Amino acid sequence: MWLAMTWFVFVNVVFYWHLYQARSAELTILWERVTGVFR
Amino acid sequence: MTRVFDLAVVLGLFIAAGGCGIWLLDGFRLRGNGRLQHVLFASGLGLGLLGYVTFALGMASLLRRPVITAAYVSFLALGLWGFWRFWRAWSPPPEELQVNPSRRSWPVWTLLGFLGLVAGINMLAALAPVVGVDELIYRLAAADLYLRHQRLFYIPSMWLHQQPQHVQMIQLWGMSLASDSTAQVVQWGMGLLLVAALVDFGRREMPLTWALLGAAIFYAFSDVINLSGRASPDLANGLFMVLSVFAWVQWLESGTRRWLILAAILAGLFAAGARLPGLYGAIGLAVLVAICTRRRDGSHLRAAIGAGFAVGALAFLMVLPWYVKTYAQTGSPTWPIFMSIFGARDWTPAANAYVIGIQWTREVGPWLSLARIVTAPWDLTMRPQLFQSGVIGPLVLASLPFALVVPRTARVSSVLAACAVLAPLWYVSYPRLRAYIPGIALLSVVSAYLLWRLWGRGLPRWARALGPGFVAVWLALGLATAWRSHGQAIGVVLGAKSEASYLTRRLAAPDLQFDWYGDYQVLNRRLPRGSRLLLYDSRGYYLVHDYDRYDLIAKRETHPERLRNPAYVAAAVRSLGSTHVALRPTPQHATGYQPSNWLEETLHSLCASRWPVVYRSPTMIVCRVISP
Repeated sequence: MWLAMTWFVFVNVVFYWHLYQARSAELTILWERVTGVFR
Repeated sequence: MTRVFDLAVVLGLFIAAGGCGIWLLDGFRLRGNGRLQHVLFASGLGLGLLGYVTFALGMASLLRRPVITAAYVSFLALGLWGFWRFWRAWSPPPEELQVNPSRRSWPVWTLLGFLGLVAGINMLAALAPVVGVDELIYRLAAADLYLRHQRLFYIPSMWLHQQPQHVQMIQLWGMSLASDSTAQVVQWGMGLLLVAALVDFGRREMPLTWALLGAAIFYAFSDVINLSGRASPDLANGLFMVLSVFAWVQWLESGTRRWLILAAILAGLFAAGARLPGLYGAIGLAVLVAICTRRRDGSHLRAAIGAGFAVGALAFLMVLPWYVKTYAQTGSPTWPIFMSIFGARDWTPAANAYVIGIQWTREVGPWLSLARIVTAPWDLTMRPQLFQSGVIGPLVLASLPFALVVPRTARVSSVLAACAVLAPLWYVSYPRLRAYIPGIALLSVVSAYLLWRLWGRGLPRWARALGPGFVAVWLALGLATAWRSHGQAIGVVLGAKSEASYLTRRLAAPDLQFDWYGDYQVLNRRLPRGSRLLLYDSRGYYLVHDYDRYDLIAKRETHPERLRNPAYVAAAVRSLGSTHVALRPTPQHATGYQPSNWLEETLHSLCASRWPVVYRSPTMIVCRVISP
């Protein structure tokens, strides 16, 4: 159970860290990058 | 007023479909588990049926507005009659779940408010003019040409139009009777039916709050938000396949085999919906039926495989008309795919290998390598752009391991098993998340269920604070995505800007890169009636004249070096019936298929020397094709 809860927090934190990283990169935010390739 | 009429036409279409579906379910002697589920099954079935009507009209060259209007009114009357009978005669089955009104606490209202707000934003976006890339290339472009010519016919330069396009047939109803934006409204509406199906399933397994949470997690997925305002068929397809899985669950619970007929029909509609790989749903259903027949009844392996095969065959029957039509028009049932087996009209093997290679490998890389397969769940969550997909959010991946540590109901386990069978089939066939919307939708409900079971345990205080925090952030992100994706479209629907200025700006934006809209408006006015254009760009939707794409000549040229010969190319252009050629002002050499680049250069040289230029702008030149 503790392992699963740790995984839950870990995935969420990494996901939002990725969002933050994308924001500080040349493309403003992850969903905008996705919109760019979305057909 | 046009928007209100669009909404009314689509609402009538859904009523006609739902009511006709109720008649069909009566014919199968099937009753859903509750009113809502029955209407949802009926709506999926009825919408599929209405698609075959326009398909048949198109094959019979009867796609005329009076014919479609008469059919629409007839089906609407039949649908209203079906609903009236249903409402009067329905008696709840013993297991029907009544939702307790006292459960509608503030979280329920908050989640309903979230779903309502996002649905409202999506609806306004759906009412806007069409801008999507694939819609302008073939999805609505082909439908528009079908209506213009009143029949389904072969369009050699649209290489994807011959794949099964059943959702397009459903969209034809609205496109014929109202504006083309109805094609988007149909997707929005079918997306809402999908959300309702998820809530309806979820409320039987968990409190309403958590069922709504599952639906909200799904509705915040950026592909779902995008697709709700577009005419691409994935949400409609998602509805068909999710209902198919629920019908399969009904069979598991009741043992009534007629549910399998419904499940097979709906999986067949998923296969017929939009593209060849959609067949993975029917294959998955057949596998599930075979496994469950073997495990539940202890049947012999051969009998279990036979049951799975029968379900798969019935699903295949639903998509068969499309293969037959494609074979009749092109000589290959899967044109232009599998050219080495069936051949492909108007293609050379080299051009075919190049274009299919782009579609299947270049867009997402070597996705069948071991490393990509192992890291796929992580990549699909964290780096979805690797799969040309939208943002699914962290909650599904984060909560799935709880399935190993909390108890599950039989239905939730069944749904989880269905997702597990569908996932590898989807991955090897077409690994874009929008093609796995049925799986994402079902997994969202499973995630909510797992979080609910966990919540019931004595969680530490930090977990009780952090969990809802993560959920709230994801939903807020969904709301922001909806606004960011659809903000401009809403402006034009509410009258804050004109359609022309919206389309000119929006289509030229970096994600669409189409700056010919203004040129098309001039050509629509200036070129004589009966003109036929050979276009450099693949998007001809906003032209009122007929058109072909220039690379058609290159794709079917068996001796590509001849494309450097102006006299030869001029003859090829004339043989297509083209009266004008529309190009960029200078050669672009944008493709990796060299013969197309030679062709482009030769067309430019013809426009510079032999053919008079009749229109020129910073983005386009148009020359008139003249006889030697």
